[in-house]
Amino acid sequence: MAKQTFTTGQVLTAAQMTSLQQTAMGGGSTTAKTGSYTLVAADAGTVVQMNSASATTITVNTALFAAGDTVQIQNIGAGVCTITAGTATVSTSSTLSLQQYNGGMLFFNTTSAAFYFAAGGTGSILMAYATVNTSLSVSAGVETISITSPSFTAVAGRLYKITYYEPQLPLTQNANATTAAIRLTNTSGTKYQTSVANNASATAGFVENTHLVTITTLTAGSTVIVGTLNFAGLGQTAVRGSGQLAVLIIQDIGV
Amino acid sequence: MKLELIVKALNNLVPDAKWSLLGNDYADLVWLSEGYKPSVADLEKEIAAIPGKEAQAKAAADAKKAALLVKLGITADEAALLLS
Repeated sequence: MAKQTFTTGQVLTAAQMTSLQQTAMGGGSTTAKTGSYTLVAADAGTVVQMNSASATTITVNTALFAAGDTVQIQNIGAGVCTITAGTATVSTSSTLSLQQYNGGMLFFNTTSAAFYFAAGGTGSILMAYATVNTSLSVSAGVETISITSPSFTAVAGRLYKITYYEPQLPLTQNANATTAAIRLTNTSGTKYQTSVANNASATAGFVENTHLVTITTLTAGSTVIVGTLNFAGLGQTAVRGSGQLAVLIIQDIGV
Repeated sequence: MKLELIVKALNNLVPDAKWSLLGNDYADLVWLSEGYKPSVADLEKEIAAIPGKEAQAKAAADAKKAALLVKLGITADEAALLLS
């Protein structure tokens, strides 16, 4: 239940006790929001649950909450919900940009300073991922996008772990290289990581389990990551199929 | 069409062309070069010719190898031993 001011001699009803119990168990009355919202004093002790398909904000202002007040924040919508410091300050070791089904507790240390504690602590948060099970053939020397992540909202100062996996890449003979890379946006974007396999022998072969990993910050805003391939020599095929997927994963791993 | 054969046919027909193909459907062939793009019929014709061309190339290589062994006066096993 929302924060109450009890008075001497007041008799609590069964419904109030049930509500208090629910709040004590970490739940409590829930206010559903379908658009950006500015917290009000009555939100203390409640759950503010955002449900919007597009991006939203929850603004936190000063002089509304007392020291020790808490507000549970949840985002169940597909749109990213960003907890935004209005006139109050909001500090966290996690991210204030909540993907769908992220949430946590806003704790007011003073009337003007809040801490946000993400549920589940500061472990990695899946920002986006993609899989491809269709083989990709490319002519010699053409760097080509092999896998594209869904767009996600990057936050300045956060560290992102990007993983790109290819099950089977071709390796032509006679010193022809096969290159896989992680890039921003497209084949011209910033290159974060590269893996080069070179085959000096006279026999063609395969590179199994190419695995690229990088950790980087990203410019704030809508972001797309791609995995690219480049085969020297002749037109060749990155082999994929059922149970043999190319995978691209982007995780927010903290500050 | 079998993907491996499509790639071989494209390499044979237009070795310097730039292209990409997701899957094994001609409709998904993205042509990045300005020049000639093989038609489905061109590809099918080349694909049909690949086994014959490969057999011919193998026979020519085998004949060349045999002639060299005769010239050196050694057997294939002896040549393999030398290279091991």
